[in-house]
Amino acid sequence: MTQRSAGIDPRGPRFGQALTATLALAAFVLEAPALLAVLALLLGAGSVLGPRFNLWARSYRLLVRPLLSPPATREHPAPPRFAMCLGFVFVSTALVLLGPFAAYVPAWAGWALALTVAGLALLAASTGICVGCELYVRVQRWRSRPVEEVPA
Amino acid sequence: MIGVTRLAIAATVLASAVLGGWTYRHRTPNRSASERQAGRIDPSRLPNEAGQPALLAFTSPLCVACQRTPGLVAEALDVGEDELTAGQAPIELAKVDVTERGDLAKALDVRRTPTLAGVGPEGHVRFVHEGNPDPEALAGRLRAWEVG
Repeated sequence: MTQRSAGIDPRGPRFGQALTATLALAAFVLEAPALLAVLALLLGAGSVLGPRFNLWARSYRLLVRPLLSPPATREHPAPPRFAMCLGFVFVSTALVLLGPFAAYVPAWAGWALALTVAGLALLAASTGICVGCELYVRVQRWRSRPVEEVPA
Repeated sequence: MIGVTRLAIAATVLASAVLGGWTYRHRTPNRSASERQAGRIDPSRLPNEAGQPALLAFTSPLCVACQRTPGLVAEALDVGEDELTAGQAPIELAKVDVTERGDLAKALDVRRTPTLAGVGPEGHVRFVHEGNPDPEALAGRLRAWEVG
């Protein structure tokens, strides 16, 4: 019998990514940097202060998880937290470009960052694809010398 | 007032992310040996016991889905996971960490983890499957390979 690994329900981060994408897209459509600020606050709290301050995770546990069956696998909490941290950096940068630096850079630069966050979050939420993880494999390949090949 | 242009851009981002991701996930996960750049690899470079066919399970640190691979392979071979781990199954399952054996990952064109590769006793690459295998499909493939 397979030993159950410690970790989190992998559906939780995907739920959070769906909410992140929704908020980022809403901010863009409504042209409301205030929504981006709320998003930055939520992502920052969850990634910097830890799971207790992760509103997405708490929402999932309270509202969604009771409706689902137990997860088939469990996930290490580090990658989703890293992704949340990256999202926080991107959204914060977008806010800076749309706020203090608005006189120096075009608004589309800030919104492009917000849309990037939305796109990647949507990708992760809908398909479970972790762009960072796949890049990681490619980087490892690039760093390695090729194995000797023999004629077929 | 919501701009139509902004709505259109948001809809494009939504559609691109979902459709693009779905297409990427569902592209043909299996690549035959003929599509491999390296049709055969020096057996001494492989982590499995020399002279024996093996399944190479490419993994990476923190790869969640990789945890399920041994169980699915055991199911395909109709053995217990403990037997598979102890080397008592008809074919050896060798885990390959791409951070330690990036050379193998490059030779077999491993693009993501988990990836399962079937390698013959002389190092011939029989198949490469991205993602976790379906046990029934893997069982059929192994029967065709006359293993298990």
